[in-house]
Amino acid sequence: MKAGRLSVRQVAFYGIAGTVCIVLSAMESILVPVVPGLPPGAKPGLSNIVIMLMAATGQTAGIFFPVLMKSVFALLTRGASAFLMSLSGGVFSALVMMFFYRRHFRNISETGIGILSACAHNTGQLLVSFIYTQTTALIAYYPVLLLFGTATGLVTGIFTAVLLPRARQLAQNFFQSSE
Amino acid sequence: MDYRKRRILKILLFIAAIAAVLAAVLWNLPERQAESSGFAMDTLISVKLYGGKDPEASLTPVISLFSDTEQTISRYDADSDISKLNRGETLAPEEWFMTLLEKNLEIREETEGLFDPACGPLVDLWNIGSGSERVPEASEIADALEQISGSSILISGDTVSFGPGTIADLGASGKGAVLDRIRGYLEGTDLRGAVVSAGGSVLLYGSRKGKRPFTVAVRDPDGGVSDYLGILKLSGCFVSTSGDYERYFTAGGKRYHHILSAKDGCPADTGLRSVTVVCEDGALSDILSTAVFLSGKERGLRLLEAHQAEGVLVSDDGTVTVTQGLSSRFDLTADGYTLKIYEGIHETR
Amino acid sequence: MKRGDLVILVSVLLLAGLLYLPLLLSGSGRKAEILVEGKVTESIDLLAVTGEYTISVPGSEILVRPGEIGYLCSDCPNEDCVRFGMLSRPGSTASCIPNHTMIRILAGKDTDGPDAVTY
Repeated sequence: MKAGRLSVRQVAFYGIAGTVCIVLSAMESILVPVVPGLPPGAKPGLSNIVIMLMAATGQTAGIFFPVLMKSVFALLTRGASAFLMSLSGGVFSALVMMFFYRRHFRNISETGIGILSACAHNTGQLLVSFIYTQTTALIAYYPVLLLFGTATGLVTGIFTAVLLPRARQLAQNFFQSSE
Repeated sequence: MDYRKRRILKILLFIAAIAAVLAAVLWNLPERQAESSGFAMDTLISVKLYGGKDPEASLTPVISLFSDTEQTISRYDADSDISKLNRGETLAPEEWFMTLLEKNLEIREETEGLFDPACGPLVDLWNIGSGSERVPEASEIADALEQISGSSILISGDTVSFGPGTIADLGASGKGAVLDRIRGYLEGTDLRGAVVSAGGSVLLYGSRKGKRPFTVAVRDPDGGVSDYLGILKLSGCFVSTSGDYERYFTAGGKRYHHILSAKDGCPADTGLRSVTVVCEDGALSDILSTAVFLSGKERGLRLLEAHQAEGVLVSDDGTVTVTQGLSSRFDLTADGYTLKIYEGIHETR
Repeated sequence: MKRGDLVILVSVLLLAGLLYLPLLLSGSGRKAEILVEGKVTESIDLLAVTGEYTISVPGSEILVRPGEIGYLCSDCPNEDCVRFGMLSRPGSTASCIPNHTMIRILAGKDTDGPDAVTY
């Protein structure tokens, strides 16, 4: 099945994962504005659950595909700056996830990884906003972003932990009926 | 084997991507800047330098240009070039000083003596800003005017000398002159931009980050120090203002300001309250702001045109006249003024 | 939730808290500075001023009130510095040139205010 390249199933899998990310992200954009008092760009980050499930089930080969898909979606709907923000945030958080899941730390589970990856996501976005605004004043937002990252990361982690068994099964089924 | 190679390649690719993002961030980080403010040439100065590898290092050279210029043109310094010339000596001064004198003389000619660098006797007579001013007698004024009309500044080759009784006062162009010298210095540095102010005359060098223009606020003649008439968006030029509110004294219920006409010996009464000139030459912007104020609106605007300079003229009837080149760059923010755009008079010769 | 998760949670929160402190201390407040011969001799947080008091500088008296600062009187000719009135806006300055003293209120960030004022 795998001849050093991605199999059709894998591509399909990543495509679906990416699509789910986009849908979740779009849903967030509609629902989030209802809540006042949040810093700009603050989102629950539901799509990160998908990425995290991928990382947790070992589907890391193409983990950046859904990230890229989500970013391109942002590019098409919200423009170049949103593209860069989404891309850098997604890349940073995916890398953190990959790091932790490859190593299998015994004392860290989904919640911890969720927090770290969400904070990494926000850090990546902050770096991009430096480019756009050209002022270091933005660093004032960092504590808030970290706090928010902790909260969303916790949520992401919990959801992932809950969904993990199902996800594992899904992945298994998806990739099995071949050969 | 193949699979591992692909894995390594992917890892490298993503490291490269992260590196690219970081590089983009570091490349665009807010740049270095250096600032200093203080007193020189009897006025408030402020220096802001942006960009380059070491803007701090340029602060001292810039500030030393102030003291160097002061040592040349200050009448309070008995050893300055101007004091020596006023005493009748012949000198071969530095080029920038010669150029400064030439510019002064050029405008004297164009205003037919209304603006005259040899106005020393008049300046000394009124002595505005000393705290002990009084309105001079008509005879005193007449004497001063006579002295001025008999004055002469002779430039031949690289030497200059003044005729007998000539007392020159370069107060109306000194600030612009030092800004010219500073710009010359800045061009030899790697600074991206700079804003240098000397008592209301401003040098704008380069631009803000991302080629954005600087913002220069124009003081409201009727307001206090922080009250602005409007905002100019400019880059790479000089801005100078002459106004009747800067230095004055009141006597008998009347206000006597410091912009004296060398024709009638009194503070100019031409219906203008302030003149702001924008142009490519520092000394000229300084001289023209005074000369335009002295000439009144009509002749003043033509004077600006003749030198490809732009300006904002505030009249005492509340009209703010802006030359066409500035119309898109000036934003009138104060209440109580009407904006007019001067589009120029096309004269056929 | 495993032990490592808790460690992560606490450390991130601590980090956020640590980063917040310096911002609290320098951020808000209206800082005024008095300069003599170009050197800062006094630094005053105008928003922390409760009553009224004066500060002496060479040649002048400076009045400090809640949110404001300005020259009260001076021995310079015409008392030009007093004419500046009371300053309250960030970026505004008053100066007594003959005495080489100056009062300035620090500007917020370089996005505030014009780059220069011509007068």
